[in-house]
Amino acid sequence: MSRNPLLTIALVLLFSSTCLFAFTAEEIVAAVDANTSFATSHTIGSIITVDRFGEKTSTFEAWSKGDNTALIEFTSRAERGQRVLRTGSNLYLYYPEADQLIRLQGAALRQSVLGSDLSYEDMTKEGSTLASYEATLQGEEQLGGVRCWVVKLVAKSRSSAYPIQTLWVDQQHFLVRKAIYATAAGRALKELEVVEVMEVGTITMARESRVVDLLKRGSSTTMRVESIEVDLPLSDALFSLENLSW
Amino acid sequence: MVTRRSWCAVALLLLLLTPVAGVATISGEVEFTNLVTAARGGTLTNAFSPTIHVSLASPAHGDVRGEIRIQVPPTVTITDWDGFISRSYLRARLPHGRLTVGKSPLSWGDGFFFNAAEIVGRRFEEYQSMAGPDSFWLASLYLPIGAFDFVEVVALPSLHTADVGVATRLYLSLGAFKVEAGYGYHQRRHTPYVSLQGHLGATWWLSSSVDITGGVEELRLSAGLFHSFFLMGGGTISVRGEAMGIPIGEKDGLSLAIEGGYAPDQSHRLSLFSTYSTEAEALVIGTGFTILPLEALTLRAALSASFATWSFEQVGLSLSSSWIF
Repeated sequence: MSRNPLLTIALVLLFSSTCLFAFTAEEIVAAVDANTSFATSHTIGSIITVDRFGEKTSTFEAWSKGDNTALIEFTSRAERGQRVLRTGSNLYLYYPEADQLIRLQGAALRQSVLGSDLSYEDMTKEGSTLASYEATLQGEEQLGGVRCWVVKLVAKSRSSAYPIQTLWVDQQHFLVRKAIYATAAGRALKELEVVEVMEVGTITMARESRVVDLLKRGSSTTMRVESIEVDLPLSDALFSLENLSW
Repeated sequence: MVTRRSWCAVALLLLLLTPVAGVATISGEVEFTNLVTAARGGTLTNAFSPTIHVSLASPAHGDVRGEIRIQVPPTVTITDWDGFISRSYLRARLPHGRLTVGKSPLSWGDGFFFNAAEIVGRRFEEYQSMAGPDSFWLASLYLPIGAFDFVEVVALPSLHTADVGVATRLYLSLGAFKVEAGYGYHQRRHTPYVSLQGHLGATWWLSSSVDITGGVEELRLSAGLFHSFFLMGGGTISVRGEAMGIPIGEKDGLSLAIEGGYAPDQSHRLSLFSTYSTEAEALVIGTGFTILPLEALTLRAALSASFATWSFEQVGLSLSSSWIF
């Protein structure tokens, strides 16, 4: 999750004024990526899963560096100490109960994280959006009083978890306010909605997002950021197997 | 002898981890299991087994950490204090690696049912914890080679004699493959092993180990496949198949296991499993159902039937609940 912060500011300033000229879908998606990416970050948050039995809350602490390096440690009691490390296409899980390292590949990356509507792939998103998707601008819509561009993304690779994505991008903050993730045939799988936003320096980002698995009735997952520090010094050693199994 | 040194280690850990210091985390798990079995002759038996473990652990940050875990009752009926301790270790980061000393879990190779690469658990039984088959009294040196590769060297002192076993492994992440190669030595028995894991449509793994004492005493080969499917209507199906063959050795034969699971949502999972061993001509078929009704609370039910030489032996129903605090 990294971008040059000066580039971010420049892009946001350039795009945010009064839309004096039209933007291409690629420019919008690049600005969204820039707006949600940091050289490094440290996040404390929670995942609230709702199903027919009620609500379960899992808390986590996460560190990220660059576009595709992330470490997540779960801190809630039922899964305390479980860790996920992703660097590039490698994803490792660590279970402290058995002192066991598990390497996930392929379809296993789409396994649910702690039974939520989020997959390991969702939680440790890799690379830039435009590297994986072709973008087209579908138009503009008003969404809860916020003027948004509607951008359609079509995956370049058949291995993408979500072959088609439709994004509603806030024209002022270059923030995805809503997204629908669909199959190649266009069947909607998941819907994401930003419930609350927060300011981090000059950037507006989601504090609370709600993901609904459209194939399950009565279940949803809310991901909430309690605190975030960005562009802080993080050692490469943090993202190693040694630290994962510490 | 480990005993006196172990007591010192436990005492030191207690001092380091005591909540008075304000840094230790207390956690644990309570589990109640009731097993009812009906044998071929119609004999019914019932066994109720409550267990509890309490852990005292320092935060998993910094350069020194430790954990102590007490389990009641121990997994076997013994009076030895060691049976109640399932974890008791100190871990310290060194300039070029880290050191673990005490009783700690150790997991090498891959495999849920069978794992030919698990040479430590298989070959150092007399060293392992009586309160947990995955924990060993050990001194372990972990030496990273880059971010995703490492060497681990383990010394396993005996609880009862002055003997010491040693084992080492090299762990490499080579592109799409994970490779482990290791070696164990105990009482003039050499046990090298190799383990390979990768992904080709499904996740697969292969392991092999050989015990050598003069000649080849035992050769083990194990293999496994795992894949999960995501249903369009919601839910996940997972399939796991494993096999282990012992072409050379006293326990020669073939063991097979298959397990399928269906999870319609985050709180339910239904599984079917079967294992078969040619050595004992033993077949087990079973099904299990797991529900997570509340945070940290798990309820399980399992029904299994076992057969020996294709004749019915017994059927068992297990009901259990566990709560993590």
